[in-house]
Amino acid sequence: MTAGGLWIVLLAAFAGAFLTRGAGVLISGQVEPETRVFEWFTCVGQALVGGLMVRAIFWPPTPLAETLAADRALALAAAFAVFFLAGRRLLPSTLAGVGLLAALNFARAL
Amino acid sequence: MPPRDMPRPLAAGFREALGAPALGLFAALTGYGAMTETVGMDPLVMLASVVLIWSMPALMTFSEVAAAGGGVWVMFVAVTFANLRNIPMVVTALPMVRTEGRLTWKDMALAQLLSPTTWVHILVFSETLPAPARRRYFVAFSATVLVAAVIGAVAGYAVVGELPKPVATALLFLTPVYLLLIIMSVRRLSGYLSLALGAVALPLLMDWSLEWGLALGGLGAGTAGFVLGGGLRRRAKP
Repeated sequence: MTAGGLWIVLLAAFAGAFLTRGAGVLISGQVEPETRVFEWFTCVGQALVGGLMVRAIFWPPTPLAETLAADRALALAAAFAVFFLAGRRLLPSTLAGVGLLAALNFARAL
Repeated sequence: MPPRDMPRPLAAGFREALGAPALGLFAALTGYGAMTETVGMDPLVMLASVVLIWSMPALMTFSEVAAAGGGVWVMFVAVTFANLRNIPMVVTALPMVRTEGRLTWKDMALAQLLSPTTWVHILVFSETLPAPARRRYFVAFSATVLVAAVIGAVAGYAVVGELPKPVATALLFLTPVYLLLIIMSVRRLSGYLSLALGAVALPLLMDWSLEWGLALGGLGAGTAGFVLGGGLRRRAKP
């Protein structure tokens, strides 16, 4: 994609992001959040984001694909284990997963 | 808990954000910066994307769709759907900060600055803050984590080529893991089921069609998770 084309798709992405935030602002004045429709909205958002992130981990379009899928699965499991064992703290859990993957990558390169 | 005194809400918001919130966003965006460098994105576009889109799922979508060569319409639809979860976030956050009886441009400005980190802080701490100070407090908080994120993205973009390859590739793992863990922080069965179903359905359906797979997979898995998790049976809170 050319640099100009990338700026145009960035504007399209900004429009999409702005649209959802604007919709939230408009609704915020009128609707009670603790309703079924908002739980459904949250579920759709979680399915979307979760699916995209799993795709970014196991079918990545980046050099992450050069690492073993089993190593990525192990590192992901480690991040989740630390998350649940250490009081759902995001930063240590994330760094545990990334650290383990880096260590496994080093070990495979030896 | 009664609201505490807060003579300088901007400074207080800045101070509160400087610890774990700023570090978390710095680390998360390091992964985004690294990812965009590896797919050859222009650094100015990368920086502009962080400021304009300012939502990790949407940023990841932007990076993935741009790397796949998706066009304007695919990008618009993909980012809109990836950002849908911002709607309930904005809807639940603004009433806790707003002091005016009607919508103003300040609501849109705060909505644009809102991230899941700020949202959680609004939900947890806003009632401990005096109402007139809340908006300035959370604007300072949000702006601080945004600046930390921009610095993180630049750092990730700049250093990824200099790092040993095992570390550079592991850095690309940071952002998706961080986001999956954030989603796990929402403790509700329907949310967990939606995440699990989306994790299976979306990659498969996006192989079939980038645009339709994303939309149908998200709607289908989210709706199935909502129903299986008892969403239809739950009574709305009065």
